[in-house]
Amino acid sequence: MSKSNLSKYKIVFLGEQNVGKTSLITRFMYDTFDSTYAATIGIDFLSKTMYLDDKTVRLQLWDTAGQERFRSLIPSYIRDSHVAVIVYDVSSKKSFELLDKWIEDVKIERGENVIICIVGNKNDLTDERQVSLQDGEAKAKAHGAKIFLETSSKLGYNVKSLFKKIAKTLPEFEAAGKSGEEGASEMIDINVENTTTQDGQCQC
Amino acid sequence: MNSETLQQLLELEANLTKVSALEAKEDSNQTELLLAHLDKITSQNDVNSPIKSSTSSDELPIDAQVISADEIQTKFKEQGSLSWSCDQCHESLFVSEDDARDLAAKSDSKDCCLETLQKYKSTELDSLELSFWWFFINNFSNCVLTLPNYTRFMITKGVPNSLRSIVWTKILQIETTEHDYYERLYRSLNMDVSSELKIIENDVRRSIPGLTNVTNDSQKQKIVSVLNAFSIYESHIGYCQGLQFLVSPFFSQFNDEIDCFKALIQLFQVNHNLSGIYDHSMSGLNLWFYQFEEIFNDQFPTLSSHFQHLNIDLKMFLSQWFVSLFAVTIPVSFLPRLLDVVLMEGLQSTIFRTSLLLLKENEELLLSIDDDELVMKHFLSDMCWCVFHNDESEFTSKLMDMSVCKFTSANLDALESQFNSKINSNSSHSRNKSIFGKFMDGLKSTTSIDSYSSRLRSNSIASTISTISSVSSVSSTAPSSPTDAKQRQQEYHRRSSAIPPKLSISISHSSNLSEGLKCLAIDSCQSSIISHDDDLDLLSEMLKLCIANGVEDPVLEKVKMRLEIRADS
Repeated sequence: MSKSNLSKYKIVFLGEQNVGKTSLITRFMYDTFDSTYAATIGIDFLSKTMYLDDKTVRLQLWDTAGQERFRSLIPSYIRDSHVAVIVYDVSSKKSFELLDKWIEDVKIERGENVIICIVGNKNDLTDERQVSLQDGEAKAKAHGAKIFLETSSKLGYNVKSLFKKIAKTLPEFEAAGKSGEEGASEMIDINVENTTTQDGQCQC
Repeated sequence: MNSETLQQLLELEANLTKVSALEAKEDSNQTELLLAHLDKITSQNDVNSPIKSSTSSDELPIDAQVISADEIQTKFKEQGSLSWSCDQCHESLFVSEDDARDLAAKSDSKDCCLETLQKYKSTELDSLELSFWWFFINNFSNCVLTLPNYTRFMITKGVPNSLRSIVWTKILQIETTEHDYYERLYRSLNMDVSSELKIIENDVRRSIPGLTNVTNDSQKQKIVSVLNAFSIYESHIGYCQGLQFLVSPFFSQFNDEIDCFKALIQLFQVNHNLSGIYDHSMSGLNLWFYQFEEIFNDQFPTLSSHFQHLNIDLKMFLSQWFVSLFAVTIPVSFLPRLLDVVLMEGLQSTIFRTSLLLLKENEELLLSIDDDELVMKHFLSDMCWCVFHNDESEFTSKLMDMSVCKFTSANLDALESQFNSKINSNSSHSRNKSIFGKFMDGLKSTTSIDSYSSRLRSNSIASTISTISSVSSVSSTAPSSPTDAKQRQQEYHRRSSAIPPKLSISISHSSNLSEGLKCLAIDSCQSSIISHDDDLDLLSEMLKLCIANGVEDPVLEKVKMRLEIRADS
């Protein structure tokens, strides 16, 4: 069941523990919500094919452990990633402040070859909110994030549109393109932009 | 236990030795890990206890109590039977501990459950097994030294569920350490609240394997307390997500906070490089990845290149396996069996062998898959365990059957040196200085201690010294290592001189036997309680054996005298 004709994109979810990375992914994948998900130890992996306009892309979702000490593993987790979704909890000021560190980690490893996306989750917790929408937007702008959204996995709010937005930022190639290194080398001549967004696959 | 069964055990051991010599894989001795780890356990115990460190090996610690064979048989039938489940429908046979003690079935038991229960009721340990476990429980280290192959055989077979808690207590040597002291320590630690208590609570609530004794809220709360105390006690480790998986099997067995706490501390002390896996920067993990990948690439070149072709990084699932001890995906019934091996043969080597076994058993399937996603999903879920058909015995025997030679401390140390020199040469190219810095700090704190695998048995002090010197040269940046090395060196001299230099026993395959017999005799004789005439008989029998086989030692004379006095009274 090879899906080599599909464009595959690696999307990594980062952020402090308990901000709702797993629940965001689960909402997107299965449209369900549970208040207790098992802690992610190391990393977990899910994938989904997404139909968008008349194109199809394959999203590979990497769910990571949020505890700070797991950070030493982050470089190998975000290797080759196209999109880094950094999640904070709108009811936790601390998780918001620590965004900077996550973004720094991503930039150290991937430079400019990654789309940064900032998500303020748990926006249903209106009474406990500690981070305003404006603060979130400002931070996203400051870090040059291409996407900023507030979501609620619990209510399913903005989750679908988050993934749609992510998909739309992906470089859309013809169906036959870049499934592996041969694919990438075929693409090299097409234009300069493509090679800069893709060269992360070759080495590092 | 009488002399006849002892003789039988010894014969079995001799036969197993012959068999394993015939099957010898890549000139490895399958008992090597077992014996090396035993050294770590016993030397740890010496270091830990200031009282014991002053005594020489002819005055072994006195066990508080000798447990008689009858007691073991009774325990086998009664205690811990809560964990018994029906052979056919796998449902638990008992509702409460009281039921289990009386072996009373649940009121709504099905026929298959009643049948299983009947079978259990009539099951007894046969005399040979009983003798073995008697020996093991009353004198763990000498039992292993005397019967290494048979010990492996019994571990492969599985520690009987009902004896597991006492057997683990013996291996971990946690009952000889002062209970009161640990109780006070534990209580006082829990007066404090770990900065990570919220995470601990959250993790224990949401992710814990479904083991006996770890199901209800009050039990989970106790696990939280254990982790809280541990994270304060071992402040350089604190709490790491994944530790909850390590703690729960212990709690499940002991059903006691303090024993569980002691077990955890002891586990980290005996497996000294373990703290690097769980500490604040998880610095040791990258070394383990490197060591494992080297072994994997060497042993499974086809699979390794297949992974390269699919652009799969082993670390993706290794991190989950290593940090959770496989507990995220392993079938629950495998977990105690895996820990039997971990406790007997060391954590790192057992984790490595299990990982390699998983890859090996799945190899054929993997080679037919040409999709990176499927491979990742396979290994990050319980699907990869299907190769053992939900049979914990199949898993254990395959695990114990794997050649140990790649996992000896000598081999792992060599890989560690390789890794360190690689790191050093790469350092100028490192793009991430902060992580790299942490990483090196971690290395400094772990390598120096880690590599001192005490090799009392190898009878070559020279090799030990060369190990030490190579280690201190590798980690010369760590200020503490030279003095430690010197102390260790002296320790080896002291220990090795305590062993009679020439022991020749005709029936023995090595000097272990005589040494083991001697120690057992001394130990049992010194024990305050000898409850059975059988035990006395055994002692004198062993003494005769020692003498008949030419073991000459002044200590034996002492034993003989004491024995005579006892027999008279």
